[in-house]
Amino acid sequence: MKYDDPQLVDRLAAAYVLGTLHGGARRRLEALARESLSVQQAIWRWERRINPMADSVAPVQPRTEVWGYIEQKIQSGSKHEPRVGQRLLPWRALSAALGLAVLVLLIPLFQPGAPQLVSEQLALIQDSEQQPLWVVSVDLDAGLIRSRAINAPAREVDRVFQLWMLPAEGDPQSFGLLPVAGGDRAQFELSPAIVALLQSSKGLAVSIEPAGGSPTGLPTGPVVYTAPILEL
Amino acid sequence: MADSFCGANGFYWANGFYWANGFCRANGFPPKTREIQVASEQNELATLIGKVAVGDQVAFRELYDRTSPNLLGLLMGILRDREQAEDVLQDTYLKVWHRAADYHAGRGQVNTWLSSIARYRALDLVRASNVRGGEILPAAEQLDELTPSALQTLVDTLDQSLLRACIETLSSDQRQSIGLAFYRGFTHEQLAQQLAVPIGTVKAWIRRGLNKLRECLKA
Repeated sequence: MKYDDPQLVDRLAAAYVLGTLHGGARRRLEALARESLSVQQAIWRWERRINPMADSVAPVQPRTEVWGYIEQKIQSGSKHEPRVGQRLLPWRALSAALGLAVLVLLIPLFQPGAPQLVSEQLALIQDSEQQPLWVVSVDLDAGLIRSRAINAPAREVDRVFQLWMLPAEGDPQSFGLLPVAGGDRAQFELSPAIVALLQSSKGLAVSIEPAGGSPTGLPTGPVVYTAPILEL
Repeated sequence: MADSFCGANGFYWANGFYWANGFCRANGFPPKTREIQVASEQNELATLIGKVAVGDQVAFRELYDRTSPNLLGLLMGILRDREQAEDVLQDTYLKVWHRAADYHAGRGQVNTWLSSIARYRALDLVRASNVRGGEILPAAEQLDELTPSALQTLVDTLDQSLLRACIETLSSDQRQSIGLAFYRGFTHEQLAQQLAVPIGTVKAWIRRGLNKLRECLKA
């Protein structure tokens, strides 16, 4: 099989999503999709095309035990295998390295004066392959959000990436628009109320919005990335 | 002129939401109330997924309440067994809980992503139970379920008018074979048996039908 033939890949991806590709051929395409972004994207394109057909089936209410089982699993799971910690291991290693880099940069600045704690938080927004897209740092004292594009993804013309903070309770709060050209920086001022909310925040999210940002003050486009916030 | 609202760049702005311009061609402007509700619901689900990704159990419960009845309906169509379907439903939501951060716009709307996860699990299960000693068993008791008129009802109630319009362009053979494969998880062999045609004919119907959908949805 020549998997570098886009037409063949497209045909296999279509059969995979529809379900008519089975047995060894199905497993081979799955294995290939794990390694090849173009194969994965061909599958995603077909998911977007035909899987909305699922929306029209008659709904069937699951029995209450189904949720009970799921709830039990996620709660016992979070005790025995710390879910967030586990999922974020590669991220933690990377952000620890980044944190170190930031500290190394800061030490010379703060050495002459009295030992002063920098009240700063950091988040790294990554894609599903753990490639860093943006670094976001929060200066709590100055009430400033700074973001820098490392490798921002491609987007539709007239669309922007908007950063949101997810408070422990209530609606997401806009943290401004993210820069898109590599190396570009953006800065966004936070009100003291938002800084307070940030202390208990669950993380950051990025949504795709019309040019100029969400017109409603809440995400209107899909949430495409999320990231936890790390205290430095 | 209604078309002028639809913009040349693929999207236009109306009622607080973006609309793909294929939608304009299918429906004209302005969009129907139902379409606006659907877009608004998808945005809400996307926000919920974002919260689930950072471990918000309340958001997860809401996502489950809002999406699980549709997924269970889909799973029961393929698995024909409530217990098995609910097992797959559980697996699906556990995967969503652990992998919510993997969701992104490339996977389509939240519903589409959830359906993808659920269908793949169901297909794996139904294939494993259909195969005995290398032979794919006929799905005899499943065969009379999705009549052309039942399929037409499903197509008629699709929220996405562009997809609905594109499915309408398929021949009835193409529509029936793709519908049975999608909603019932039929293999080529089962389709050939159900539709009483050689397997090569079924394969050609599906291939041509999918090609037609791809070209139509591109427009």
